[in-house]
Amino acid sequence: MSQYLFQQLINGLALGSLYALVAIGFSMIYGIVRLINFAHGDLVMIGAFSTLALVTAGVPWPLILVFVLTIGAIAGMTIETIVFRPIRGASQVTGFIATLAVSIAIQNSALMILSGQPRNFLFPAGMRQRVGLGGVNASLTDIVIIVLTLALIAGLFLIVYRTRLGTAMRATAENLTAARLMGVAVNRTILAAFAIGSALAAVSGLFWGGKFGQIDPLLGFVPGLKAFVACVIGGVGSIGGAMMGGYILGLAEVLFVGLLPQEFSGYRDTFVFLLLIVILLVRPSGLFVRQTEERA
Amino acid sequence: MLEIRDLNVFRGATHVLKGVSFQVREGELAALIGANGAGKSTTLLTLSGLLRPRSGTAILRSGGKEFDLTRLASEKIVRAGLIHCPEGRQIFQSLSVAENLAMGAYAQRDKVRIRETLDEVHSLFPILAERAGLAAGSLSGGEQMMLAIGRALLARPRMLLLDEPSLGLAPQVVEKIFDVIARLKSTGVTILLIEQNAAMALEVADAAHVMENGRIVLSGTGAELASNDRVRQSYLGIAA
Amino acid sequence: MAATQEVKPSNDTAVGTVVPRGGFIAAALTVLAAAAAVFAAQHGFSAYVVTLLALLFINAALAVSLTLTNGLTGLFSLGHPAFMTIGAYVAAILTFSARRKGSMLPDLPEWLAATELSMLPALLIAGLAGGLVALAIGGAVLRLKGHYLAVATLGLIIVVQGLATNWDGITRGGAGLSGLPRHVNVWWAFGFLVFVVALTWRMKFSSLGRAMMAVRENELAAECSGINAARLKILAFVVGAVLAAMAGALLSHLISVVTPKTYSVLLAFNIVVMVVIGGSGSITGALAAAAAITILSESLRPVEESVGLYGLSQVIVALCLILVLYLKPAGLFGSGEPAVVRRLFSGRKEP
Repeated sequence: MSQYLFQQLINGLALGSLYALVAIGFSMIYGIVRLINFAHGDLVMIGAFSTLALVTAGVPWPLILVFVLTIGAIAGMTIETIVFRPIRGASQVTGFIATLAVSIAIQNSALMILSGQPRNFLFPAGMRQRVGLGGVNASLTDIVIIVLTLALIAGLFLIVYRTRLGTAMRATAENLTAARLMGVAVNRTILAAFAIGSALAAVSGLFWGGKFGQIDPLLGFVPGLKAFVACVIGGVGSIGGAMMGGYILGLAEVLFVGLLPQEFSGYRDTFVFLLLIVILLVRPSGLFVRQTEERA
Repeated sequence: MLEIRDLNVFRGATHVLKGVSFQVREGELAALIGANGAGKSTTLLTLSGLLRPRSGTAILRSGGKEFDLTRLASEKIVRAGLIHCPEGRQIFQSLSVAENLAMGAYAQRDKVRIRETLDEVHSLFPILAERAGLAAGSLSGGEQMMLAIGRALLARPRMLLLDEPSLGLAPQVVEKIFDVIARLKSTGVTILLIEQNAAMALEVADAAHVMENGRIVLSGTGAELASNDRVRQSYLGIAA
Repeated sequence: MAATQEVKPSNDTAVGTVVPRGGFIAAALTVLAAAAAVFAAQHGFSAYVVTLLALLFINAALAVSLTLTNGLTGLFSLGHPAFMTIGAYVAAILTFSARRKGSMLPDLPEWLAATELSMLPALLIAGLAGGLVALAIGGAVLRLKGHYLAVATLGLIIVVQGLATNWDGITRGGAGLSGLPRHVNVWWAFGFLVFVVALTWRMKFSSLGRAMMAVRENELAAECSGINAARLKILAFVVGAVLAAMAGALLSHLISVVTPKTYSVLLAFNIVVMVVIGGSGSITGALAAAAAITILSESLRPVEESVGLYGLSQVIVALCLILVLYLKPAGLFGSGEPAVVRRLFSGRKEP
């Protein structure tokens, strides 16, 4: 494999990892409460700035990872408890507007507190070097992102498919009434979905800062929207689909920029959202889900 | 065991239960019969905490304690031993058969007893052991009903609410289900049964209550009601 | 507040297609009185206040036009800023001084570079452009429902922004077009608002409006009674887009600049807030909420600047919205018009 192609592949997988982490939580939340959580992307921003604060405070990196997961989980549970739970049962559009309001409130609070000035964000020097792999080389940051993401996703799958909580979450997502009749405290299960999904988004924020080197209070908007695109690609509500959608989107973006002439690279986001509209129209249930669920 | 007094339930603006009162004694198999829309399912949903009454009480006496079902959260009602096997089976289609049964045992902590109950359920319905790894949605209607009952049994009910267990099933399957209901009763489980097949329900029931337009209009033993002219005419399809 | 409850469409639309004479006179008098107030404001207040007033009128017109799309037909579109951007760029390219255009926008075809139109034709062409784009994509996008449509139309904003940023031979890229002729004053804005309100009012209280509301309440039932729901939805979407494109054109000639980010998702949010707070489908509600929110965020601006808390007003607007969703999910005016307003302008007694 040529060095160029290999680099593109690693780059695309790393970007895809970021999208996958956000998309999985997005999908979990949609799956369990049928809510398109527009504020989900802002947890990426919260994760990124928490990381920056923790680095500045001199916390060692492995601990930072744990803290960021925790902060994300707490933030997600707070939003669910304060805003979404009281309007549960309202129409989908009402719910969506509420998530939009939460997103705007978070972004602007962050602007108020942090100012709109972008901040530099660096992984430790050791992580920024390039490593050789049999004739080709890649950025260590990208490799760390890819590997850690896989580990987190493996952990998530263990929770969702091998624990009592995970079974309860899947049961609640499918049939909330029946889950209550089994003695599931559904509010707690929903809270758990928000906690796990938001923790993953926050970690994606940590990686985001490391990969792009700069963060600002509005950085969550685009990953939030792209997480939705990834979910649509893979089928909204399916965790595996969201993961695949994230990787596909990351690779597609990198290929789009890498293969087309330079002057088209600015059209990257345009391309992504055209892709979204096309997929919504052609395969509204996603590429991996059997076409059953009515999209109402 | 269960004492319902003057229950008034609204669904939206509709007054569905209009002062429903009746009792179910410990170990009894009680049947609730009535036409579609009379309020039978609403009664069960209220008992399991999914609907809240405007007024009235429903007291469950179970394991030496008293529970007011109109105030208790649904998950606590399950822990109190009142298990509701809902209309239309409502199994988790995308979960495996084994996972569905595990969800039934969700409120149980004692692993050894869960294992024992699972073995009992498997011996009642061997098909559930054979299909353990399959997605529940791939089962036939009768098998899904067995799964729904098996799932309820794994919750180790002291009192079981059964909503239309025979609906849309083949006669042999219905017979099998009623066999299981009789066996459950013999092990001391109190049962409240809703059944559109009134003849069959009255045959097995110790006590029965007839519901019309949100009210209990008749109560008696199964045999009494089976010989009541009004019941024979309206629900058993026998000319008086 | 007799009319804060959801008004049944049948109740609200029994007026018929013809606005009775009494209603017309009342409407004409109201417009005259408002015009007098604008005149007084123009001569009694600072230029800043007058510009603010123009901004308020355009915001109100946007909110009312969204009422048409989102409120009457129940389409949840967030695409207004996309059409505003299209309208603003089309109008800007048409009105820009022909002397500077050739060098600034090298990719423009020659005949276009030589054209320099006045505001009215530019405005109409901008509206037409927005309408054509809406027509082209509407057939596809409107098959989506609920929040899927919302996200697809959000995507449309990003697509249009991307085109405006990257097609620099025609749009001058991210820097945008500045120094546009200031053709628009408060009277343009006022006239536009009157036009939009009159159009929306006529549509709402016509058989067309009734059919639209029927689609909103129950699409299947509406189709069963012979309503072509797909065509109505496209109509509402296109009319909304035409009005949005015109609003974008006006706004950019008021502030004399347009960039790819002038009309962003935040703007979509703010218009939606106005419609939701006012009550989805209520023209009066949209007007009142647009005025309240414009004034609120403008009056908070000095506060933001003095304490250095930029973003405060947006946070407050967002929290207000959440509060309304908690307490009055149908909005302050539901989908109807308050009894007083309805009686005044439709010239009939309460049912």
